[in-house]
Amino acid sequence: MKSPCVSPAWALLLSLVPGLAMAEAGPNDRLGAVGPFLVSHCAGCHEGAGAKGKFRIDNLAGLPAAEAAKRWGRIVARLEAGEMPPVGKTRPGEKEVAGALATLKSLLAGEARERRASGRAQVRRLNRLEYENSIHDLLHVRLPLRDLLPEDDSADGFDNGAKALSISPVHVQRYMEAAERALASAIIHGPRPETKKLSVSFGDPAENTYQNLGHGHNMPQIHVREGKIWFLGESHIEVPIHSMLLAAATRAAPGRYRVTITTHTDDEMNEPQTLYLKARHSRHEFGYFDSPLGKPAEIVIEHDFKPGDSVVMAPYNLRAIRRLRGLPNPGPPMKAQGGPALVIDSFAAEGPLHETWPPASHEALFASVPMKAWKDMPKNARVPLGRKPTDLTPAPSDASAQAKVLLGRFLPRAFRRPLISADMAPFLALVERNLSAGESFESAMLAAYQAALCSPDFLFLVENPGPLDDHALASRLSYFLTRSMPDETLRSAADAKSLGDPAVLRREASRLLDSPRSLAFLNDFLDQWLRLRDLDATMPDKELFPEFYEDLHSSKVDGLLRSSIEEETRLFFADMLRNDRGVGLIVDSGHAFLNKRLAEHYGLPPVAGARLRSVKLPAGSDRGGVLTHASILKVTANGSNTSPVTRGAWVLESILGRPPQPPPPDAGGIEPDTRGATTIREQLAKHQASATCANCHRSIDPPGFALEAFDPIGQFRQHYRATKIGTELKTVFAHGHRVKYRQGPPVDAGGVLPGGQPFSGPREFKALLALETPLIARNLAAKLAAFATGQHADPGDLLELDRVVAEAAQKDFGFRSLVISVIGSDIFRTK
Amino acid sequence: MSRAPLSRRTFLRASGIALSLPWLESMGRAVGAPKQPAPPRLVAIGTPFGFDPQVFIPAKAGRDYELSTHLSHLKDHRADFTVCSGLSHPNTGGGGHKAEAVMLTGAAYPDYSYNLKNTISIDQQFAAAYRGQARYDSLVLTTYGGSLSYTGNGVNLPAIDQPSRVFSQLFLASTPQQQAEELRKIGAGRSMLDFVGEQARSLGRRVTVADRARLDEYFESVRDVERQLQMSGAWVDRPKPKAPVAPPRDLPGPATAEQKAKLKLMFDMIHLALRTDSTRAITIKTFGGHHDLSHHGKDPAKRSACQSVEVELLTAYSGLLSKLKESMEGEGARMLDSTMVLLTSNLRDGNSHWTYDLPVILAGGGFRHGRHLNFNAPLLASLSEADQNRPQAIPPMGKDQQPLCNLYLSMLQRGGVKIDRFGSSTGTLTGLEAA
Repeated sequence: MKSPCVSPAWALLLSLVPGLAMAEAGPNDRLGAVGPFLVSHCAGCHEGAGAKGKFRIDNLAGLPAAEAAKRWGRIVARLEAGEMPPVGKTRPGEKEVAGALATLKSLLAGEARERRASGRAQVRRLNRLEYENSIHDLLHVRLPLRDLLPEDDSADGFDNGAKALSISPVHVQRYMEAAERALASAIIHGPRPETKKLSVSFGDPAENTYQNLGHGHNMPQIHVREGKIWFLGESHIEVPIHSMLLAAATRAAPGRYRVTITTHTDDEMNEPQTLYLKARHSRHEFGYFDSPLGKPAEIVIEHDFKPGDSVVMAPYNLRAIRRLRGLPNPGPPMKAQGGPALVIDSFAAEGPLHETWPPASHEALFASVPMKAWKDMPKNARVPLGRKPTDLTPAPSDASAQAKVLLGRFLPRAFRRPLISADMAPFLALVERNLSAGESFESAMLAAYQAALCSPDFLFLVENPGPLDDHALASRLSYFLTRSMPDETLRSAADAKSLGDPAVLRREASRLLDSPRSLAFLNDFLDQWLRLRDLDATMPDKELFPEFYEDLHSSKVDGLLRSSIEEETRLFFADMLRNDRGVGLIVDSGHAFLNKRLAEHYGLPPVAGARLRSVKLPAGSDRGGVLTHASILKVTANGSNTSPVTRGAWVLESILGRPPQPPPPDAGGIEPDTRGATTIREQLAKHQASATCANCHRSIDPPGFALEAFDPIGQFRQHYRATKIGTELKTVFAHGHRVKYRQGPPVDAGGVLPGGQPFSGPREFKALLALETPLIARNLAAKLAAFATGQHADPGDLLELDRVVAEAAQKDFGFRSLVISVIGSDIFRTK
Repeated sequence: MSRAPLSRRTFLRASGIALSLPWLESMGRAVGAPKQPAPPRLVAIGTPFGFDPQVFIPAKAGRDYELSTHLSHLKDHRADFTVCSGLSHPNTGGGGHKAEAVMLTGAAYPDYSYNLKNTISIDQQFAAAYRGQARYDSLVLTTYGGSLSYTGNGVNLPAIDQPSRVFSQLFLASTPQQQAEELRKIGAGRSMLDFVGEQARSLGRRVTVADRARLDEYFESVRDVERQLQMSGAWVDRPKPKAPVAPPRDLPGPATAEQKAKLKLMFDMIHLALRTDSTRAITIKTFGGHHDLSHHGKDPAKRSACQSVEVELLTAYSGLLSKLKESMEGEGARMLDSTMVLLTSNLRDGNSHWTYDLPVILAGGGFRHGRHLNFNAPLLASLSEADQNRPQAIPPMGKDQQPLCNLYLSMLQRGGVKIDRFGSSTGTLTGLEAA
């Protein structure tokens, strides 16, 4: 282990403390008043073996540098939070604290710079997502690849953290396989397939089969009239309605198809319905679409269809609507009469679609190489298994010269940098070796391409210490904002060596943020920062939360609710990013993105349609801000109950960036009990009687107490729901389901912040939290920096992060401004 | 060991790789050679939501303990398994479900946001000792979701979730043409890896010392796959065993449903893989789709529904043990006697989410079984307490408790792995002896 005292800045910082001799000897120019500050305000309690909270500041010199930095980070955090010195002790003035913090942060920054001589960030490989995206962009293919690779671990909450991206033999095996499959899917073997048009009449006997419309269970509720489908109820769960003719078409010629569907609702009560579309085999969801009254709406979808795949159409929630209107549920032999009908007026498809031929994927590998049939190739060339004599293969007149041209174009794109002189020769030699072993040009080139895709220059993001060069910077920017390799424009900017100019870097960042590709950044970042990818980790209890289900009997989740919950949070941030709205909206906001289902879920005034749109919230609403999004409330709960400890710790860590210390190994726990006899707060109160527990829980629990006003699926509640004890609610319906849960004890969503400020519920709590906007912005900046560089922010980065936040403060903490300030920071622009 | 039947594998010997003949094959060929004992094998079964301790853990420790309600489903095997209570992975207190990752490794996972640095899982440690001796070094299976197997540097190995795929790996014979193509691909793969390894080495020279470690890791991985390809080249023209049964049909439907049928299919595949000596190390993650039920909040109806899902797994486990007992290897030797079959979880039970006092059953493998080994006496006392409604605190890791990794170390040593530490082990498990 390295001596902690190697760096002068470190020596300076450490010399503050051991024995505190130097500090007492007199102020030092660089130290300012920090030395005497620590002596008079900290050392009294945090010195020696009996130090309070087992936190000593007099033995930091004996620790490894990184560990010492972490401890100094804690000192800074407690000072910033105003938690130390504690209430009851002599407390330094605000100015004195600010001065000490400024000095400490700059000393920590200096120390970090010297300690991390080989760069702040480590070299890292592409993670699964980055790998797949890079292959897709490089080869212009859309083949899913990420599931072939082992799952990536996370470091500090992000799965692109350098520390966690280990590499193992199984990676190498899978890289070989993935590259082979991707390359095979990129090349063509024949002339352009014919693009066919298909217009479906559902009166066609081909559609009226037992596997589809003609199924006995489907016929009573799904009528075919004049070639159109009339949904009066749901299809049989195992016999979903799709187009058999489209399935036949994709079986004969799989590939990309454009499907156009028109639909309208026929209903004497004038309630427009919702159409759900998904791919039948791949289960890809196209989503929920409005089916208007009167003039049919046109829905256009494009999708890569696997052989035999088709589009499944289903009405949303029709059964519950019939039930609520007192209409009988049809079933063999009783035919549905009256009630709302969702009508499919027309169904057309066109495909397989090819923008160009040969497609861009083939051109990426064999651009402008003439094609020949295998039967016309020299007799000694080995024909790959499974090829027909009439299949085509690239056949250049001069293989070696052609290989040089193709690789010269491919390798710099794959490696995301210009080639150096030694790069090309081994690849050419590989091609030559294969050619002389009797392989065809195609096979020899594919072997070289496969080698390139398995080589560390493709798989790793390589950076040199110091300020990043143009191409490394281009890669960092591109993988940050598009989660993939640089595009043509960015590559040209790097080739022109202009990214070092902050204005050009900002311009490129803006351009990428404006392009739809930036959704890849936003979605992946939210998936991880807010754990949206864990939304399905638990399924809500059917008895306690029936609203989450469309059909309780089959446990079919209410898909519109489930997708809206996720979409709300994504749209909220996309709007902040596009319009540079302030990050204070995370805590509270006057608007929310809602559709008809989510408005109902939140108990807000009705909103029409399935599409989420920005809606102004009523004055005095408890909603508003990310903390009241059902997505967050769901991922911070389990399926049947909530814990203020879990939610509180989540707010501290994810929103404020002040993670609580982990519980000691012998901390107690509470066994969840939803029978209704006790509430979680009563159980917690017993558990926290001890002063040691109370110390941390004073900070952890209050945000969780405020969020107790929301149940595990994000509904507002005044009472807990219970299974055994409590008032019976027999006659009540919840989203069309008869209620089985009981009304349990009332919810207390009030609490007191550690600073003594009381709140009575979420609204007052949010007002208090809103005062912390600069801290929330800094936490977000730190998360963005971690996500962008693969290295989490540590105390040495605080100074620069404060600068980033100060810059964003001038733009009212706009989210977009914050992202761009992070990109302009030293943290981003140096290794 | 008689080397004579090995002569056709000369190129392998030339390459310096110790590749012994598969045990079954050498049994058949080396006529007159001294009888070899059956090779040790390991099966680790992990389930994510534990077992309800009220009905799982026997009230009394020792040899004359009375089977608990849950364990009564294993009553036919009472003499062939040991049940352990009070074992834990230390320092995994806040991991919750995420501690699933350390179920078979014992790495620290103190809290949810901790940066897990996982270590090798017991099956991979075991497999490493027998590399190349069977067609597959290990089989990594799941009935849903990821696997429980981890490499030495903590990478999660992908799992097979379709019984039909296991079957085709075990039994599906390839045509001579396919074999030739496979050999050609192995050759091409090796030459490519050579190439890529060189690239990694040359890039390693251009980066800083701190970054070089990662590229070294890559280089070593490339070398390792090259060795693997070399070994699998030796297996390509060796005929696969004849399938004793018809191929299984995978169950469609939601991935979490039909646990009972899925377990049976997969456990049958495990038995076939062992019987044909296709592998020596197997892990399987079972998933009962009862995550929601496991958060039963002590509601009696849900709790009992949750318990019946747990029983499905115990019944399947019992079925596997029966099959391993019926399969004989040589005179009077049951396959179970050379096969350690572990069943455990990362949670005590789903409702508490506690990562301490884990449920553990070990069957077979030539240990002296038939006992309940308890390592946390207060746990037994708390379970027999009359008022089960009283909120309980997580029992701390008491001083009498031992890490679950002590059991893993005992198993590895029993399996012939030369090792004196595994994960968080402090020694071998007290009270567990070889038969």
